[in-house]
Amino acid sequence: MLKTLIKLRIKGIFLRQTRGSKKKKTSIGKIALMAILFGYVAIVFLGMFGMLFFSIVYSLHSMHIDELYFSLMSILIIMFCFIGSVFITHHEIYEAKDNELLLSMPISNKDILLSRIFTILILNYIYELIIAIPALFVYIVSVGMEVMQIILFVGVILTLPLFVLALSCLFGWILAHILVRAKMKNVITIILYVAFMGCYFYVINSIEGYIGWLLQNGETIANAIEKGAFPIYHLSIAISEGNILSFLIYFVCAIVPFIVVIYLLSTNFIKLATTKPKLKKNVYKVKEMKTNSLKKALLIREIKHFTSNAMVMLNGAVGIIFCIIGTIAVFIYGNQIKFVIAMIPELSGMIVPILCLVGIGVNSMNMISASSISLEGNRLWIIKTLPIQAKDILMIKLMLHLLFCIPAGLIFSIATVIVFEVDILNAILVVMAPVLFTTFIDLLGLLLNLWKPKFDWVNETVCVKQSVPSILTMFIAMGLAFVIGICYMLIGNFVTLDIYMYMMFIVFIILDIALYYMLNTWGVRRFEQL
Amino acid sequence: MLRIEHLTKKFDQYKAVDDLSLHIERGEIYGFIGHNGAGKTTTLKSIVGILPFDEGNIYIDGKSIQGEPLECKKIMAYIPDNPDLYEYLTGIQYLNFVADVYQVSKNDREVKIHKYAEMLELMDDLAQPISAYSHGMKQKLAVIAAFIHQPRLIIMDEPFVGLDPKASHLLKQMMREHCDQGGAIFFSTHVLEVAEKLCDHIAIIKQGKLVISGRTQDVTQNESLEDIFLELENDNA
Repeated sequence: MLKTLIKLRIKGIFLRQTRGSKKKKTSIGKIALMAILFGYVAIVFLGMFGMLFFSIVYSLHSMHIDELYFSLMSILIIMFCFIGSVFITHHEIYEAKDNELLLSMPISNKDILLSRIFTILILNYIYELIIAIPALFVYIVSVGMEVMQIILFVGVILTLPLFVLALSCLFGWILAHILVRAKMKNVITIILYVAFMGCYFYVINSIEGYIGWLLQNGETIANAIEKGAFPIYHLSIAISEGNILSFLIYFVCAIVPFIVVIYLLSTNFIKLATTKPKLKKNVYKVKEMKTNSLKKALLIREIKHFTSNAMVMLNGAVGIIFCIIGTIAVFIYGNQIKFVIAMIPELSGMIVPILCLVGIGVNSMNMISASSISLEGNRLWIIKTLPIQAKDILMIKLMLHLLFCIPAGLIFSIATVIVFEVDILNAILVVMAPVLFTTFIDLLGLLLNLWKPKFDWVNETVCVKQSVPSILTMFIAMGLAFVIGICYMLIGNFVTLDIYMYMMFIVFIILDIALYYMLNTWGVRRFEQL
Repeated sequence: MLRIEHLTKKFDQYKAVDDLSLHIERGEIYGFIGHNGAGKTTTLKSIVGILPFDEGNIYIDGKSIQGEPLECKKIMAYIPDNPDLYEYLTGIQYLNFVADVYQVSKNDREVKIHKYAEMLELMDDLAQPISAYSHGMKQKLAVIAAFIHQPRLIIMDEPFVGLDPKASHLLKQMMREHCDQGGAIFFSTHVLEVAEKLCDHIAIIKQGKLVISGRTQDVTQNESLEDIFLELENDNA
């Protein structure tokens, strides 16, 4: 039974990525698209970590503190797996929708729990390999490894995710308890998510500084790890010296929390899976009702839907958060950026195009409209049976994207205009470029969603994050920035940068008009057929 | 009130509804009976404009659902078999949304919402998010939403599923009152006893084709509807 459950869950994960809206076989094109996407992400991360390990391996080896190399690797693995799996752990173990169905069947609790844990473990192993493969490769190429070292390395790789799993189960349990009782679930989730993302970007941005600090204070850090992070120290010694005793000490430290967590989960699984918190009931009080126009009612419905799910907001409109962070950063670091630009004379004449491109780049991360049709899900019947014109429904969906993204984009653009003291004519360009691009992405996303809607999603987050229209919109937005750059390289000798920028403006105005026309003709007909 | 003429709906090559014709007058409760997969829901979804169809036509109060969909939808209401509603809204927000779409006046909606919510014992729960509702509560909310704009024609797909006995009884009363005031109701059901007692007319569908239709007494004659239904099922097997 355990085997069947695991098979089902793995199938679920892969089908979630590739399955279309109808019960058709997954197309080869879609599988290829997903393979390219995952391949691209894997290469980027493998390359990034490979470069990181190359930059430290010789220095640490020459200082005879090779164990610090493996300490760093294991800390990165723990962080990466934890950040990557904590929300999935919360979802798979504490909030799985099929808990009650499975518990009613003749399946042991242990099998249900283990099948879920195994699924999370597979994800953790994938995250782990993205760091472990470059670490191993770089060390073997640069220093070399003996057979015993490699065997113990494999032992560590197999057991380290067990420790991370215990950690994420514990955190998931705390998260579940906070979210169950919290009144403002969405706000808490957004704060946690932004905090995690902030930590991640802070670490990535500061990594160069940390490497320098690591190399300067290598021995002190190694001593600190020996005293403070006892299991990591033994893990590192086990690999760097092929020390079996250290491996056994590390192994006990990694496996004991895992066994304890599994034991606690298995004894409390039914309670965890079936207990519903007693929430305070809001009793309806009769009060005067308000009437709204049809369009206002539709807009209120769209806003309430979009703001009802923190993960939908974060995945669909992460650009808004970047706009806010960017605005603050521009005011704080404005002088430093201006100083850097002043040092490079070539850049001083390119301020306006750079600001336009940055504005476009930040706004390209918003894809609210790309999943707005699919998000109707099994409730599509409501707007299909009500006397509402398809055009009105589509225009309101379009408006929702603009309503959330344009103000944030404007604030960011105006901040850059103020800090970089752009003259009035160019200021209009800097402010208008992201507006035109946001409108383009809005229209494109909505049309793509009309073309490939998917109403049978598992949950709204999956619908926003992994649907074909969202991925296509993201790639087209990224690709466009690239195309704009390439085109300038090709015709840069014939036109000045200013003229090229005006040309791009006209191109985007034409594109916006063309897509708007398409939405009003093909889009309306397509919606009526859904 | 509702005229279905030679309706045919195909899914690829499979005919889910095959040349179906029906006529429903004002004041009639019309029951639609058939086994699972017979084509009941497909017919109902075609009437309310969810599914486009291949042949035939459907007229609501003389207007074609294909030619004038908005005009038809303004005088119609639909209650689906599975009330998937906007879980992110509260009950009252959902009812206000529907009332806004139909442009029901402030006074009218207050009176209607309070009347039906009191009747179906949903008043206290209107401030709760729909995600906290049980299946039966969602069904009750869908019923209130359907009656809010005084539609002339109500299409219902298995409306009694999930309702408690008291709510079922009240819904039957509401249906009868609606038709007595000149409205019409076309609904599908598997509960043959309910159909027999409640419906003025009955239609039985099998494999997409209309097997029999007419006044309930004429269809059943002196037998029970259950016997007639089973007989027809076996005859045409």
